[in-house]
Amino acid sequence: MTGHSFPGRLIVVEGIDGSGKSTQIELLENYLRIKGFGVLRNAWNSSQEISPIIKKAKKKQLLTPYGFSLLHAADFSYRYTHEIIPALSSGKIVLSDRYVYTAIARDAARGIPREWLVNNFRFAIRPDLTFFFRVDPATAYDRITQVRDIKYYEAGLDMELSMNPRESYILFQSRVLEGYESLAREHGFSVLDGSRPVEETQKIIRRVVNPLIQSLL
Amino acid sequence: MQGRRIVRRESGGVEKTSQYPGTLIAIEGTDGSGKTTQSELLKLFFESRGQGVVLSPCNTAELIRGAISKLKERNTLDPVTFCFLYAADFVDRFEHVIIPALASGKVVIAEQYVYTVFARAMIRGIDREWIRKMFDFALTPARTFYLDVRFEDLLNRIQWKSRDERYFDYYEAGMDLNLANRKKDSFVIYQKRLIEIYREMAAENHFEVVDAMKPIQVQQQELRQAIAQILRNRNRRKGKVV
Repeated sequence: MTGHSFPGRLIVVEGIDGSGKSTQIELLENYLRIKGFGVLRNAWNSSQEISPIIKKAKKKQLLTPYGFSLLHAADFSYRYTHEIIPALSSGKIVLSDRYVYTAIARDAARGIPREWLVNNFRFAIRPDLTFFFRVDPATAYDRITQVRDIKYYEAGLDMELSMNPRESYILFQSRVLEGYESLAREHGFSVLDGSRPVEETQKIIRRVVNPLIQSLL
Repeated sequence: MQGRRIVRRESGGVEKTSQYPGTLIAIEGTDGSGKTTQSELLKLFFESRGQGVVLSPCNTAELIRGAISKLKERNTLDPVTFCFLYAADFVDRFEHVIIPALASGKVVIAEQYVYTVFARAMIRGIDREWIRKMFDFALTPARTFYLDVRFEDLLNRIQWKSRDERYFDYYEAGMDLNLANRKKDSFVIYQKRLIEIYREMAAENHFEVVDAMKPIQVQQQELRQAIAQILRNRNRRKGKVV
């Protein structure tokens, strides 16, 4: 991973589902737009071209860890080439809801060697800022299940850690969290407590983002 | 149904010999080199001898293939995504077809293995080490045969001179690389370079080179003899009575 010289800036939020990162990124988007910045927000596994294949494959529950990883990598690199890089070139602030760290933490939790993952994502630029939302898996589970059911792969049911979805989710996502924690240390993420009130966390985020955007004004 | 998991290895290098009882044979070559014809004849041969055999053609994962074609048509497939999609397609075939067949002791004839993806990636400017590492989960075949066609012979074989522009395939002509305006001209530049890359890989990885301009039956004899030898050696190593 290398730095970049684009006129825009790349801000990433990372963390497991239910950590509150999507709420925060929406608030940040508004904040930046009001300040007059062009913003592109993009989400993990969202390309119109490749994401539908992943969803179909997931439905069949036929994806092995490597298949899962490579398809998500394809979705990411497609969005990277066609959305993220053009937006950065045109001077926008890109808010990325998950980035390559998601793939590295999650796929390593499925037993894939980390060096392999790091090599695959070598092409991606280093973000200007990465926020990591730390939350314990049990809390995340309870938050998610208030709104929807837990999904098969999200619960890590393909790993056969437990037959009980909640137990499996907690075991699997704990592994993912370990991956995030080591990435956070290595890459100097700004770590946020996902259990704090929304306003409080947003304040902290703005305080960290301000110096970055001041340099652009 | 659960997918099989790939056996993890200690080192990052490509495995030399498979731990499975079956034997993996790869057939590589450019478009029009006769891979399909030779692979199918090999399959017949093994079947007629009562040897379990699985032919693994390059297009098994319908789902991913469909996406690749769609993106190609729209000309929005960048080289990095190209590699990931081909790798996803390959891993599907590898884990769901090749590994189970090897595990049950069959001979697997893989028509286009990883090297075709490498060649197509490298010609699109992809770093060789990057793509090699991406595929380092794959087993190295017991032997890889390369059906070699001289570039001039390829042009003759497809009747390049008289062939109409519209009969050239967009991707077989490498049109996404903007080498020339006409498919016919682009084909010449693209396929020539592709053959060079294949030959470099063949030399470096010690492929067994088969002259694809020889009569079909002669090539087939060479392949059968070479593979029979491999099977004999493997059986001897495993202490089986041949």
